[in-house]
Amino acid sequence: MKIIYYCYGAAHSSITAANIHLGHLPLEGRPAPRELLHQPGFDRAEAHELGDLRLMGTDEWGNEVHVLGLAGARRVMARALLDFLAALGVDTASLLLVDALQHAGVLLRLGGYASRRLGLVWCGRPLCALGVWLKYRAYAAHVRRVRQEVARLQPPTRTAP
Amino acid sequence: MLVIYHSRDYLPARQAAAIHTGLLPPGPPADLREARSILEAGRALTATGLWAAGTDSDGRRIFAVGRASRPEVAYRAFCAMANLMGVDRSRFLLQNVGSPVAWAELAVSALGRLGLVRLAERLELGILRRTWAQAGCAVSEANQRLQRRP
Repeated sequence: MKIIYYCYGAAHSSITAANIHLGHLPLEGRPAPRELLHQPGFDRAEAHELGDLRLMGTDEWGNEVHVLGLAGARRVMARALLDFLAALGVDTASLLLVDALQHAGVLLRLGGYASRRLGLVWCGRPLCALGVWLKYRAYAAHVRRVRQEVARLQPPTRTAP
Repeated sequence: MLVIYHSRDYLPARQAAAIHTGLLPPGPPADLREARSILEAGRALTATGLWAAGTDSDGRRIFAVGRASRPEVAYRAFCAMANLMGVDRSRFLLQNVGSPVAWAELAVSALGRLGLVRLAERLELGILRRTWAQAGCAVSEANQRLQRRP
């Protein structure tokens, strides 16, 4: 199965969700803002990478976890990508697109704009980390639901007789 | 084979897709409102996804989508998904319609949000007339690219 967390720029929300999914960040509780600031790939994506799919790792079930930045019309584009694959006869049952940006608050959006758009990394990045920290429980809850769904869809394992 | 027209706002892409399949004529008709209603058809259902314009004379399926971003973002996203799922790039063609930032379309959107619906509609119909040639060019370009393919 391929799981794709998407957001605007694949710099903050989708990165955080993917890292929670892969166990780099805790599923329960809330890590310190510093831990969020230093998580793999956080606030690193550049504008020219918008639209690029990035593999973050594989989870314990062997599913690939990717991040994707879809810019403005992310929900339309996500639906369009699924429609596109379906129109080509591709079985999309093994594909899961998850909107990670729905939990982003004002701080994260402001910090992301400052860091990625204006180049003010010194203030934007810590603001983003704080923004994610404030909404962390929502991100974690969403990823828990995704993981439950993924676990449910795993093929049954065979045991030796 | 799929052909996907994409534009910043959904209308120019749908315009080009509809011209490609003959749903709309190559030149702007007298009644633009009817043309607009064709392009708006199913919007509530299909605004979230590809808009199907039918098939062209060569049996290709023609679609449209509004990307609200730069053209290369849509291009990279579609190609990345195709690559991820093992789809050969020869099975689809992506064609951009219009300029990367459609200021007039942004104005229409802003007017609509301000509640100036009639003004937004008049502006939209004006844009529709002015972008007809642009959409036609996109269709010509797409056809030329399709002919160049082996």
